[in-house]
Amino acid sequence: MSKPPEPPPPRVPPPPGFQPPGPWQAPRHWGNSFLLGILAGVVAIGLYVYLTLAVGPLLSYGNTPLSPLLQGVLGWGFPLVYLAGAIVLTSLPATMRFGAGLLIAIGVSMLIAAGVCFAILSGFSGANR
Amino acid sequence: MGVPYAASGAVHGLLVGLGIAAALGFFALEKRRRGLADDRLWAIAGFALAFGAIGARLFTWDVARVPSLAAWWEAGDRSILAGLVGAWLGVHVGKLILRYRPSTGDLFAPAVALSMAIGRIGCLLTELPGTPTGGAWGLVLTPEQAALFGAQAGVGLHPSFAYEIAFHALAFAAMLHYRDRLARPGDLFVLYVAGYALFRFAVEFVRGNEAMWLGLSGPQWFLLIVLPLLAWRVWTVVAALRPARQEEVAP
Repeated sequence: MSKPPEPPPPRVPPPPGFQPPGPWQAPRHWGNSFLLGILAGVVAIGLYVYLTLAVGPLLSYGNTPLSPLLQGVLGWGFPLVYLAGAIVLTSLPATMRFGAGLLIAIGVSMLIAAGVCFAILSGFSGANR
Repeated sequence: MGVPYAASGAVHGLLVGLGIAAALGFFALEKRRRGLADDRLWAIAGFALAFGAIGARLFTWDVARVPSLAAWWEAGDRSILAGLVGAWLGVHVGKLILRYRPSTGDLFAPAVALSMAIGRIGCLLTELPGTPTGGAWGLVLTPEQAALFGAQAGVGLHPSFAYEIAFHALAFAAMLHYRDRLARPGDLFVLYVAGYALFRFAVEFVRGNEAMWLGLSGPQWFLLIVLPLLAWRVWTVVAALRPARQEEVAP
C-alpha cells in the first residue's frame, strides 16, 4: 500500500500592506524618455552623416597632420562612442529609456536617410518609375 | 520591367526602414496584448536593432576581398542572415546587461517576419533576382539592368525575393494563428528560425549567389553548420508539445 499524499503546507498570508512585485519600470522624468532618445539619436546621426559627406571629401584631398585624426573620428570614433554611450545609458535605470531611444534611433535613421535620398533622387530625375 | 530600381540604395534602404518601423509597431502591439509592461523590453528591442544593423555589415566582412574594415564598413556587402545573428546576439547582450530573464523570442518572431516581408520588397525592386527559370514566370532584365548586374538580358530569372516575401508573409500569418498554442515560451521563435533556415537553404539554389565551395553558397554553408543545433531545438519543441496534447485529451 502506498502512503496517501500529504496535504499541501498551509499558505502563509502576506503581511499587511504587502504588494506583489509589478513589471519593472524605469524612473520617469523629462530626460528619460524614449522619444527624446530617438530624437537626439536621429539628430546626432544626421549630423554625423552630413559631416562625413561634407568634410570627408575635403579630408581625402588634404594632407594636413590633422587629417588622419579627423578621418579616424569621422570613420570610427563617432559610431563607437555613440554605441558605447547608448549601451551605458541603457544599462543605468535613470537613463534607460533615453539610451534605448538612442539604440532605436539607429534603425529610425536608416528609414529617414533612405526616404530623404529617395525623395531627392526622385526630385532630380523627375522620373516616375 | 525587370528590376525597376536596379542597384538603388535609397529604395532598398527605404523599404528596409519601413520594415523596421512595421516591426517596432507590431512589437508594441504584441507587448501590450501579452500584458508586458516591463520597460526593459524596449531597451532589448533597441539592442536587437543596433546589433542587427552592425552585424549585417560586420559578419559579412570578406578580408581577402577588402582588407580594410573601414572600407568594408563604407561599401561592403550586407546580409539578412548576418543581421539576424547580430540581432540575436544583441538581444542576449541586452538581457545580460539589463538582467532580464524571461524568454523574449515569441515577442520578436512575428515582428521579424513582418519586417523581412517588407524589407525583401526592397531587394526585389533593386537586386539581381535569381538564376534563369526556364519557365514563363521569371523576371526579364533590360540590357541596361543586365549590364549593371553582369547577368543575362531577355531571359526569365527566378524572382527569389518574391518567394522569400511569400514565405515570411505566410510565416507571419501562421505565427499570429498559433502564437498562443505552443507549450513553452520561446518555441515560436525556434520554429520560425528553423523554418526560415530550411527555406533559405533551398531558395539559395535559385538566388544566384556565388558558390563558395562544392557548389554551395556562403549562406548555405552557414546554415549547414547551424542546422544540427536548430534540429535539436525543434525536436525539444515537438517533445514539449506531446505531454501538453495528452493533458488536453485527458478528462
